[in-house]
Amino acid sequence: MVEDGIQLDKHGYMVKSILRDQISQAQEQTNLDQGTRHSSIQKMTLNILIILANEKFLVPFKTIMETTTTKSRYANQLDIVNPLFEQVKIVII
Amino acid sequence: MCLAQMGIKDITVIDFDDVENHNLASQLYKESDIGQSKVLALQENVKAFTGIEITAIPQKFTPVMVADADIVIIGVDNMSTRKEVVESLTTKTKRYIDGRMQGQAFELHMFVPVYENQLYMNTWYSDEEASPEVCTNKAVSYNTFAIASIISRLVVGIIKNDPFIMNKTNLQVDLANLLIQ
Repeated sequence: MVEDGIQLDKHGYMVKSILRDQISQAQEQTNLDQGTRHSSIQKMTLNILIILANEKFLVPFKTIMETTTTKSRYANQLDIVNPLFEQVKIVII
Repeated sequence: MCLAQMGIKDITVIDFDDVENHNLASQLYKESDIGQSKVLALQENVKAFTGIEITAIPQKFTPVMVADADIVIIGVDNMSTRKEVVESLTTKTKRYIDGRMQGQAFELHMFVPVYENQLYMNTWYSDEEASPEVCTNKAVSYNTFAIASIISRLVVGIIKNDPFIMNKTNLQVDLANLLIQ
């Protein structure tokens, strides 16, 4: 099926539904004004859909979802950032 | 700074030096930082830029400081401390990255603690053998930013357990001639 101009398979459609819920929650939590929030979430969604369309995403999906719903700041780095970033301890000498 | 901008929060920086005037030419310090502890000034600047509060230890290195580190990045200005850091690491640490800069060039060495220390020692030389240029030919700004960028890329690869990165051990970059090998 095609949604927002992007061809999605059955799994992609299911993921998108989950993402929609997650993004909705993130939307409620953010302090951004309405216009900025809308634009930010649209961009985030588009990034996610592009990744879903281009990747076999079963494994990275959870990573992407956790990252984007909590950190829209990093929405333009979806293929790089990772929730593990918050757990790793780095020492620089 | 680059690591914090990516959302890495548990960062500890260790250095007992203070910010000097010449540091402003190649490092992320402000004029008002001159005279302050380097790591405390960095802590403040990272907080201002990213909101992330890193841990600053304005002291000389001791092994206990790296005891629970997942990744250790070595950027000290002498070879003996590099060796001391490497020898103090345990298998708790996934990788250590040793960055060595000189003028417009730098090299990186990345190994697994304990198991690959002998390989690391093949890259090591004493302070007496070090080129005197190391002290006089300071890194320029773009060299500092380049090494920071590549180290950050290595860190991302280590965190994600990316085989392409995990199999890297040495990297030489000559920005004067734009050579990477």
